[in-house]
Amino acid sequence: MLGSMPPFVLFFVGAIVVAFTKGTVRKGVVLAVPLMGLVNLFMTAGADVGAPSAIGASVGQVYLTFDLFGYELQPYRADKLSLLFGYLFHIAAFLGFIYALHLGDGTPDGSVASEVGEDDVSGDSKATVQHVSAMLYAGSALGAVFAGDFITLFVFWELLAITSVFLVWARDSDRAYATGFRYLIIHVVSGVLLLSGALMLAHQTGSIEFGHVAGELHGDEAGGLAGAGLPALLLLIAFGIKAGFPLAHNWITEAYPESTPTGTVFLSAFTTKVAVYALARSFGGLDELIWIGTAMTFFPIFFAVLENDLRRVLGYSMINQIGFMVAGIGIGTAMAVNGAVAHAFADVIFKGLLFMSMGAVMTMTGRTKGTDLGGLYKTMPLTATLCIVGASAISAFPLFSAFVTKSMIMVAAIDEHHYIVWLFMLFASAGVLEHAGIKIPFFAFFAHDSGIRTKEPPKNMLVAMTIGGVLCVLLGVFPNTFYALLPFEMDYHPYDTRHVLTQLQLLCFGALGFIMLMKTGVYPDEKRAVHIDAEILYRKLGPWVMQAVGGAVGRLDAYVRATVMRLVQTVLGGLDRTHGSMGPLARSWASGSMVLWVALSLAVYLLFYLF
Amino acid sequence: MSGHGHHEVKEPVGWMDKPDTVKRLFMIFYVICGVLFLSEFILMGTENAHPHPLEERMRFFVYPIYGFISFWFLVLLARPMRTLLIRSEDYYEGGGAYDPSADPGHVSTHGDSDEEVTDAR
Repeated sequence: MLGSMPPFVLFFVGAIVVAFTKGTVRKGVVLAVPLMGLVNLFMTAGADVGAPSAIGASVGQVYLTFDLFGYELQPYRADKLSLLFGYLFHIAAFLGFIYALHLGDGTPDGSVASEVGEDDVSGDSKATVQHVSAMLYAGSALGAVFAGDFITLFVFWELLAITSVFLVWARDSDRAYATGFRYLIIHVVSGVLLLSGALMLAHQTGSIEFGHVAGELHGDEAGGLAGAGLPALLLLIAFGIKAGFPLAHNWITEAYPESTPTGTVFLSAFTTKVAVYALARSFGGLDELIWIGTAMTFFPIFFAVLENDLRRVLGYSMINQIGFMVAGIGIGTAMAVNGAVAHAFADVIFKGLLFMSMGAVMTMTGRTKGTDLGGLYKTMPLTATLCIVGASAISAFPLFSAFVTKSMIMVAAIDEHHYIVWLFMLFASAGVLEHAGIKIPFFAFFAHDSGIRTKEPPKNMLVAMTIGGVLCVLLGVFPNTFYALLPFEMDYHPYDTRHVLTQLQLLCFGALGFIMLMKTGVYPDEKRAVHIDAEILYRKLGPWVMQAVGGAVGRLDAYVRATVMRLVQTVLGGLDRTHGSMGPLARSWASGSMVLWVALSLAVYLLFYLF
Repeated sequence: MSGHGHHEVKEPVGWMDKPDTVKRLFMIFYVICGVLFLSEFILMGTENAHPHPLEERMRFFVYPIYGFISFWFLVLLARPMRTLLIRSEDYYEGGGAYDPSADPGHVSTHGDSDEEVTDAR
């Protein structure tokens, strides 16, 4: 096997092959690449990489290095932390490609998407673009997690943005193009901040190693933020933008609902998880992250209650789940960071499954809004069942994946005496049940009957969702096998009577609350509307300020121009009066009078000379 | 391959259309809730390896009460939030305030929508 070949290479080569093949050959390639990559990774790096000794220490294996201007680039470095994400991204790519296998085969049988005026809702005509960019995108994510230095990380960080934006544009609507451009700008800014931070750090420390920099943020000595901390702060903001920190979170809720059904499945797997990985690698134990993460678990659930577009609801749900991970990284103990990365792993699978089920609904009906859907369980019973499996997994019901991953973060919060944080997280856990556990399946498949009659989605979509569902259950039922893959040593057993019972109490009484809210009519209806979020800053306020400033500058410019023009005109007018065609200085003179004037001046000169 | 294949599908009757089934499901759920409420007595006998001050102060029924209240708190806070933040669907494309009279709410592609909208709430 190819031991020292960085995992991304296979995907980049695969993308070239995909671009020039069609039909069955292409289908074979898109499935073979992630599978081969996974086996290769497991047999090579997986076999000889041990656990890091402590949080932040990197004792990974470096497989490939070369020199650039005196700095050592490490395009392929692996330790247990990066390996876990490496396995995860291969699995996510494999599931995503199974799900996207039908692209290029035409509109699925039984689709009623054309009823809403969107014939090509799945971006079928853009099959090649979607397959190629998804392949490059997955490769970039792998490149980023196996990067051993910040320069390599930066390259893949930007590639993540550039390759994935095509998945948004594949929707081929004006809205998608505009959203894609905003997405691209936000991510390029994040990359520029990353590079600036990395270069400043290299200048200070002489090293570009992608390692732990949290200590730099507070400055070990008196320097503080202004001293050693600025490069670390830039890196934190760069990672934070991609992780969806508060105020920088709207690219998630904007881009995910605008992409194609298959595109969103890929989008949801990679970018944010690379950011979580980068935070775990560089900022484990940074106190500020605890509160940033807690805020992320908290505020999106309110938007999720109100939101009508179910894929946007899942976008908010994504921010909420990343909040748990960020808080876990901030707590920084072995169990907390293990919990954070384990939850990232579980999240890619269950959130992927939920996005897949909504994508299946969108492919078959052309609709994703709560107001347009309902009653689909009659015609899409398998999709509905698999959606409920994903919903149970994200809600952390016992025997499902989040039950064994999220609880590590919450137990670590108590053990480290972050009691308020724990209360917020418990509230957020109930909130997850509300929007992802109940709202998504209920409004899409049950609630009132929308009258839409369609069929189950293409078989490949059902297969991908089934594998996702099985993984959700396997992770929940056999946690110890999964825990062995986690980067740090710990002793945790999720299944004890107390944990199972209290979790069931929390969830079932939450659901009881939901039933009462529905029966009393207190639960808010879905509305065909948008709800203002931080995106207003750059979608309304920014343009408004630009317009206001532009207007003011324009008026000033007009005034200055008018004044100068008036001045020039005055001068020109004056010149015209004297030198113009009728002006006294421009009159033509007869040559006789000229001779008279010369004779006169000579006479005057003579008079002066003689007397 | 035809995009209109759905017209051939017969009008299906799901289990949600049968009020008795739905009622029975709710009953099962209420029983489960009752059992979980009583399971508090089992919890009293188990040791809490990671005690939280809230559990130490409240002692009993911490989780069912917290879960129930969380849902109500969430929704009761979301409602005024909506009043403040709601805008028309094309707000970012030049639209303005949300106009409830222009929102048809739930749309049913088959006729009998009156009854449906009432129980959709």
